[in-house]
Amino acid sequence: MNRADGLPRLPLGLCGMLVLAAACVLFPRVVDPIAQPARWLMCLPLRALPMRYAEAAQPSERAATRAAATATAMARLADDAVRGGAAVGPNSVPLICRVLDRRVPGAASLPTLLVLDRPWSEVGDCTGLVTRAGCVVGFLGQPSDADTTAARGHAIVRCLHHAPRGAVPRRLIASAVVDGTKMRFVVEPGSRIDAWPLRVGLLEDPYRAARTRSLGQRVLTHGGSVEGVVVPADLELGTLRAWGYVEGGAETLPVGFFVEPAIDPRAIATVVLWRPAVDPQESAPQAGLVASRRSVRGSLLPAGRRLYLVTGSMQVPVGSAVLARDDQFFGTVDESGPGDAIATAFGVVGRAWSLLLVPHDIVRAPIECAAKVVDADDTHVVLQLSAAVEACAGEVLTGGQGLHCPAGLWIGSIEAIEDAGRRLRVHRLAPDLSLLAVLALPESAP
Amino acid sequence: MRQLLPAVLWFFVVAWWFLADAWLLQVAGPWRVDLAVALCVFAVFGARASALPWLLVCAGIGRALVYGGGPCVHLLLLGVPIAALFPLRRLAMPAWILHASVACILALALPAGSALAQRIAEGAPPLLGRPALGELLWTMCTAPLAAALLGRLPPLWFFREAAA
Repeated sequence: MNRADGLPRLPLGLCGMLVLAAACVLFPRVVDPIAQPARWLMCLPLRALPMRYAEAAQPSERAATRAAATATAMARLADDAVRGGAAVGPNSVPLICRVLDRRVPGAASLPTLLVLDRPWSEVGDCTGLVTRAGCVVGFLGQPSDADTTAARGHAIVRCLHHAPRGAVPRRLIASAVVDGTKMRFVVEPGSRIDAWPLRVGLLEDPYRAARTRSLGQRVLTHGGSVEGVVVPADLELGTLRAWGYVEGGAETLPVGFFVEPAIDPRAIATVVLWRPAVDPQESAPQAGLVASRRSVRGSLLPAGRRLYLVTGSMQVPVGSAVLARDDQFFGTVDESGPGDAIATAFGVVGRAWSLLLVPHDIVRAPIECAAKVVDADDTHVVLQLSAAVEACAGEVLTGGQGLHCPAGLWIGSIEAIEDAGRRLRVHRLAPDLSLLAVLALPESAP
Repeated sequence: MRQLLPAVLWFFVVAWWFLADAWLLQVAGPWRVDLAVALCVFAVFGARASALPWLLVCAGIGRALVYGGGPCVHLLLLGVPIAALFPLRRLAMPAWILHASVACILALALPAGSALAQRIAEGAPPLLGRPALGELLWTMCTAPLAAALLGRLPPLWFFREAAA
């Protein structure tokens, strides 16, 4: 380094590239066509690592048992989803759909768009209202031009807090019992920085609302029609919350009222669409999309439990679920190229997942929850849950993590639920990489 | 050709660089040699200014591959501190003080940048732990040494300013 020769050459090239990178952060899809081949190319030397794999074999008996248990759990989840459906109307027939993906962060940074496992063409005749266990989730939608690239024709659900760009947001009339009296108000999407995704507006009696000091009441629909979709009364929207100043240490002087949704959109795995019952045959359940299975081989990269190299005969989509021996969910594909891919393991600290907790007690319905990994070792993963759940013994399944990672894949067993139901400790078997498979939906399915 | 071969070599080595970083993180925890900081120290004091864009583009892609997140976010996380600290290379101070100070700033800036990116950017990498005082002192000692050592080996050796 020569410090004597006047001014140093400024890294103008680097500065220019940083400006370009900042622009690309705003439009990440612009970079994908360049970044993805570059990453794949970068991974090529990693294939020099010694591979540790065996020939593909038939799924074991344990996998078959596990598949049967998963099917039972999903049936229990479906039963729970249609609970409270009588409020929707006697002439409607439920159509249960699984959520494949959650997209487009919006109010309170929660996803506003749920991608379903059925094509729009199959559910286009449904009424438009989407519920789950007597709660309103949102409205059925046809993928717009912007969504089509991501969802490839799948039907989508626009959650209640979805605020369409350049259009008037959907508003619902709702009510809650405040201080013993029913109060009506309008519920509309909040903003990204709000603590809760639904904002309350046009209170029927704002003075009474401002005086109240006890909140947390259930918010129900008041009935009516929203953009041609009939919303029956007494369906649950969520819980009334207040944002404001703290008085006397605990009480709140409300400045704004919000509704916390009854179901966290990050956790929801199953929704119910409603179809007019014209013919009894139409109520027969139809199968959703079935993921295909491809045998692959895997190897642990030096980075430990995080990265795995997966090789196979053909390219697999990014986001595909990777299954280890006995159909144990292992992780998802992060990078993909012709014949090989990089998979990231489930127990990587910082990864967010939607999970299904299936209690052994068959009376209890499976619990949908969103969680983030906070600690992990070879046989245990500790997750922080987004909402408190009741302690129980049971199994942990995936709750749908993308188009190619469906709900119902076995992860492990619940070892403990701690911290007042906010912390989940999962016991899982050390992954056996000798038999791997990748699940993927057919590209042309919808 | 003289420029191309080192560029290609760095492109294929950078994933191993961050894999080694992740492996060290797993084995030694925060008491590791922080190779990301070492790379930044080398970029600030040892690299040719003209080589920085390619060094950082590859580093952004490689770090995104290993740690997750978008390559552009990683490029910004690494590149902004380097660009900001780059003028320090002409400061007339003992080199070891400069190098240790820059390592300290980078050891704090990288987790802080990740935390900021988590709040504002899509495709942000997972949060890194903020180093405690002892770990910071450890990084101030080890990262400049690692930068000096690795800067004398290929492929970084080809990007040294003295070798231009």
